[in-house]
Amino acid sequence: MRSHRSLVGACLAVVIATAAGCSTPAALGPRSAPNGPTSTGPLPRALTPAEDARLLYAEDLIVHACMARSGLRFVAEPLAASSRPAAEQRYGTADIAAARAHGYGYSETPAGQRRADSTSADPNEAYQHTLSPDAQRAYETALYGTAASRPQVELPDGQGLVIATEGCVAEARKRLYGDDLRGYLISQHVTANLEGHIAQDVRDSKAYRSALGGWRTCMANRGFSFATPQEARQGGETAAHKGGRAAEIRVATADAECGWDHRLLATAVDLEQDRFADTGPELTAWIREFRSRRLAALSKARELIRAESRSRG
Amino acid sequence: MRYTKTLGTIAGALVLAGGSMLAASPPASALAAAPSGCPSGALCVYSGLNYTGSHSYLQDCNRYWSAFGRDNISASWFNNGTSGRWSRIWVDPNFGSANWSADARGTGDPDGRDRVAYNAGSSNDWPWSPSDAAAC
Repeated sequence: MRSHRSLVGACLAVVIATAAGCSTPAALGPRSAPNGPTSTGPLPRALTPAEDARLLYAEDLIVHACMARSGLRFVAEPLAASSRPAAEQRYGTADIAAARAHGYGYSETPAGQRRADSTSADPNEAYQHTLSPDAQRAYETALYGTAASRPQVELPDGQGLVIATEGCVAEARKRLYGDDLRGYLISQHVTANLEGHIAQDVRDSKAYRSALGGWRTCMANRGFSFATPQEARQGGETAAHKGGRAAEIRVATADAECGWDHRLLATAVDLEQDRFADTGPELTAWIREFRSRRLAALSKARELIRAESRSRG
Repeated sequence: MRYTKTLGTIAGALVLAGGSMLAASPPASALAAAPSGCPSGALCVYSGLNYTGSHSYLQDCNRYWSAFGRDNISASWFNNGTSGRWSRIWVDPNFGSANWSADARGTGDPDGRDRVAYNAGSSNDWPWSPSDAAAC
């Protein structure tokens, strides 16, 4: 284990070290990536988990068709995911009405959809393990191109990122997010790691920990001994499987009411916005690039999924 | 890829080979390719920059890298997973409440020196979204 290090380079260290007086321009310095996005203005909203799941399903539909052209099997399945903001998964929920009506949504997962968690089996991984070593290599080449064909691009901190520009995954990404694959993948890498880093910073903050203490006491008074909203959410999922929808709703409602009373989500969102503002214009431009491309891809994804549904009759 | 293996079976997914450490590694800009030998479906983690040195090929989620000698030995890594899952390397064992480094499918960090997981990786999982709660 190692203590706090910067994330996407020295520039991102500013995010976690703002209180220590680091300055964004100095940290970015001469190592900034050339030809980064230059757009300005307010950040577009982040996609919800359900929207992310829709894009992933659309990617996989394209990959499926592409692999089929080479006679290879690739299963594309929709993922069930919450239509609530992703911030609720990171920090806690405060939507009491939704919790009373739907719980966390686990009991309402449509039949035939995989849950968007890390424990569900993946049919493509399982299929791949049935192939011979040579066939596995051919499968990988069809997905990503040959190992030698994957270039290294420069991230804003000057470090490299190896990406796939050939193969079926690249084809899917280009169709959905545009031909500038390099720009998209840099924006994706920067945004994902930065968001995670900021989330950890928010959870470690004094204001959030104070709100969390109130939430914990409130939950305990209702008979639930969860340390964090993430644990409550997992408890709700377990309750859904064991006790059904009513049990899930009881956990989710207590979670949301305690979260509302102690401003858990509101406190976190305020802190998160402050942290994003502290990242400086270059990183903000990459985040804006990422979110804009994802938002623009939603309508294409919807069309692809609709066409797939029609073809299945 | 399965995500519920116990530690007793994780070691089977591990390949350790002797090799040079960081000092012998070429600079990141010298190479521009995915690591050869990284199996399809795996998160491949290396002791040296540019996918050199000793390596672990991780097909599953792993709560304790110390169980197979990989704890805090992670200078470069690559997500060669088949599905749309992200590979995520946590700096705490058992996905503790610390930081992580994440890579989308088909991408990798050949030089992790500015990443939180650089020589700090202690567990890994495969979330659908990088900000998902840890699950294994």
